[in-house]
Amino acid sequence: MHKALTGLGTLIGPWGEITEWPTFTCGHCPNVRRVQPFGDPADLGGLCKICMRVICEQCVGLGCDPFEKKLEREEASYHARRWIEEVT
Amino acid sequence: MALYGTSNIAATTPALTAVAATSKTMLQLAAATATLRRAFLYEWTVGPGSVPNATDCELVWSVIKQTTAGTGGVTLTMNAIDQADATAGSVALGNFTAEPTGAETGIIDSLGANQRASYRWVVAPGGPGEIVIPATNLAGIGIRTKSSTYVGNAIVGCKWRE
Repeated sequence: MHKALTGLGTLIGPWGEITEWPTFTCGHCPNVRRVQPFGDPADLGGLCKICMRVICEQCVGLGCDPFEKKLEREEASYHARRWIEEVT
Repeated sequence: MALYGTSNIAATTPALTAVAATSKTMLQLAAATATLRRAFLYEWTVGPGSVPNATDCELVWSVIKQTTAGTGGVTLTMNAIDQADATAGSVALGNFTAEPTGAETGIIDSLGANQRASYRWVVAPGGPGEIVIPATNLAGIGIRTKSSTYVGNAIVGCKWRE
């Protein structure tokens, strides 16, 4: 589970106190989530058993749709529109 | 892999956008048609840029997906962290007079913090967890803030790789 916590959020408070949270980026969307160290893994959201990535609570139960595939679809749509605009 | 960084203080005019009760985009990083490529955001830092308000208050930060450039903004200077690298292909904009388009449903990360607090989020560049900006014209990431009381400036910086 610790391998999924790829980021670090550091808050420097008004009196100089430093608070750090490990973060993970959802494998199905770009959401970044701060988590408590050694917290309950169930609080993270979920683990997609198809792509084996940690996902946020918004993506739980929606099927496996990795973020890279979403990017490819978005870029393909953009390039298709751009091609049509250039042709017409 | 080339790394780049910028901040909303990387331009002197127009003046920095003041924080208000509605969210104001302080910095936007977006893809550009002429040099279309993906950008991978791996670090962002936020903090106040003016003296604190006498009444203690909050600053609410959010990182949001945006689909258009705002108006009245200025292109921020983008520095290659390794000076041997080529100029960045993405475009960094800031100090808007009209907000870029971005829905509240597109919030990637958000944080409520004291007006005197600053925050930094980072992942290892090139590693997992980066926020990816698609190679689609004007698709980008905006870092916004708002406050009920604070009306000073906010300083926002980000680093990314291409």
